[in-house]
Amino acid sequence: MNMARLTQRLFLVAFFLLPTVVLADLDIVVTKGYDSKTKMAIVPFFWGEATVLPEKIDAIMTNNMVRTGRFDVLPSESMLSQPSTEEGVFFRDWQLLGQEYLVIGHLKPFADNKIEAKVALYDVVKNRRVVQVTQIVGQYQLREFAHSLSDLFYERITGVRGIFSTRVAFVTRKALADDRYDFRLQVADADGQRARTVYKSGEPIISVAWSHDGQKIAFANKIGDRWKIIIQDLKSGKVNSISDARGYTSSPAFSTDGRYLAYVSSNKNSPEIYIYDFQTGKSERLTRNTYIDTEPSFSPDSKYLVFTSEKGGKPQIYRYDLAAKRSERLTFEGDQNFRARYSTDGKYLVFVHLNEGRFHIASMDMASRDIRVLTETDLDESPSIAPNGTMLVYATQRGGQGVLAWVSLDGQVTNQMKSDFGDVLEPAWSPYLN
Amino acid sequence: MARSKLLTAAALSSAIVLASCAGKTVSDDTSATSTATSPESTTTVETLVLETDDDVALNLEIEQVEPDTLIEESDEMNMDLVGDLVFFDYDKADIRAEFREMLNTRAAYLVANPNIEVVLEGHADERGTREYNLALGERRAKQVATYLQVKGVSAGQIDVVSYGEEMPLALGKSESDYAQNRRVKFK
Repeated sequence: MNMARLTQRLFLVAFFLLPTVVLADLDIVVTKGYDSKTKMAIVPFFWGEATVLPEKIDAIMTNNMVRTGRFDVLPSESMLSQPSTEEGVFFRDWQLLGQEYLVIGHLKPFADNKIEAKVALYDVVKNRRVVQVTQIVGQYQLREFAHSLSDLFYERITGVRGIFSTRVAFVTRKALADDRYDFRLQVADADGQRARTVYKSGEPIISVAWSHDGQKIAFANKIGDRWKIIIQDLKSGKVNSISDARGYTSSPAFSTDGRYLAYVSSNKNSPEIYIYDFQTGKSERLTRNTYIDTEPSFSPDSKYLVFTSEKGGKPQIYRYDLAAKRSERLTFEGDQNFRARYSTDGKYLVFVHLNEGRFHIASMDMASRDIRVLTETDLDESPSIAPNGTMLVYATQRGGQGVLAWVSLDGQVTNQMKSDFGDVLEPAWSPYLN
Repeated sequence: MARSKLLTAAALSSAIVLASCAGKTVSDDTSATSTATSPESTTTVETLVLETDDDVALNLEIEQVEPDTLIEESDEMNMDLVGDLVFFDYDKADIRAEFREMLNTRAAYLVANPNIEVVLEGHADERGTREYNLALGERRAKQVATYLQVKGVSAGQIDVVSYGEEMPLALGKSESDYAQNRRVKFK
């Protein structure tokens, strides 16, 4: 049963991959955090040259740590000393300031305009060095380097892998004259910086999904009178599309091994869930009814698909067992529930939850099936969990504009990100990329 | 008037689809360098094609029909369906009684003019997820299509496309704004 047509094309759609061009400047505001935070001092890194480096590693690390809501970072003016080497570190000074961790860094010029960086993390309470990194980095890799250091230190302190080197993909929508819009698919660092346009269209783009190797992004784009699923390889820029002769195709989601793509097609009248097999080039239809079935997403072990269906009267979340070919309803609380996504460990679902006329993001503990509402904003949609399971990103509105927001899985920390580029919609957090 | 525009638009868009399917297939080893050289021109191509769609259609109308006849015809028998709107209740696709008479007139016209084709655009308000609204917009457009078919219009004359919640008419958040956005438009 091969109903979908997989078309390979390259030049039909616009494609950009220009790493140095910043198109959307996104400003992050931490709106809420934990009461008891880990106290950390990040001493401004030493750089003895007259030239100014393109990025300040210590400042990027400070922002990263603050944004998690778990760290209180000591302002540099409160420091008694600003050591850059181990000889200058006196634990007593930092203990006096109530600090638990200390980061120092020393940068010096290396051959070919590169920099030799020596950075260390100390446990001030236990009076010991936790980890030290010596690395030769290019001037234009300083931001990546700062994110990698943040990942390493965050993991050593919390025991959880950091997500500072991951990315977030999202859609921006800008109104132009004459009822026309500029839609862009953009990919930014996890902190919202360095957003790059990877796909551009005059017509809507929705439903952004990463492949689990982080190499591809799939999404739906209205092209003429049809919606096509576009699968874009981020490195080569190669673009494939899936579409049917009738109806729309949308809502793509990759299986963990990358072999399958779950998607929705209304080719046979009402929207149904299909699975496309990249190896055989064939599609299999999973649902068969006159109701709306949409928003499929694989479980991490790829044994299940969660999806939204209104076969019970209103949209609710169901789980389809791919072996038994049976589905089971998961959500019973709230008026309606939509668009579930699994956490990487499969222990949680996050989804859109309508209760008393307001759309919030909620999570479900898959063991107890307990639901917890995580957000206080309204018109919340498109939740996507970070690969380490600590935070999720979602789309909401502020002052009538679409913005991205973050919330921790325990509901304790929230951040928001605004864009000068119009509405920011449909975020999707990347997997680990290295 | 509607006829020439719609037919031309349909012919053009199928040409675009053909070009996109046939002409641009690439091998797997395409390098990043070759793709990086093309983006500007491709943006222009896509945008221009979409613009040309309407422009050419309009030009052809002017060439085909003398201004005098045009006025006379549209007064007498030519019904311009483009832009007609049918509105819906929240999360519903049922056709409200108040729109039946209008749709009956449109249906009779389409039955009498089997060469005329219409595209029904379905829309939703912003509440609910984008995918659900894409489905809901399509359901509304199909509901209108079914109504027209029950009244004798051939299925081949009707195409449907959903815009979901992506192209609102009203940008506000009030119930009356939302009511304007839950619509099917004749194109």
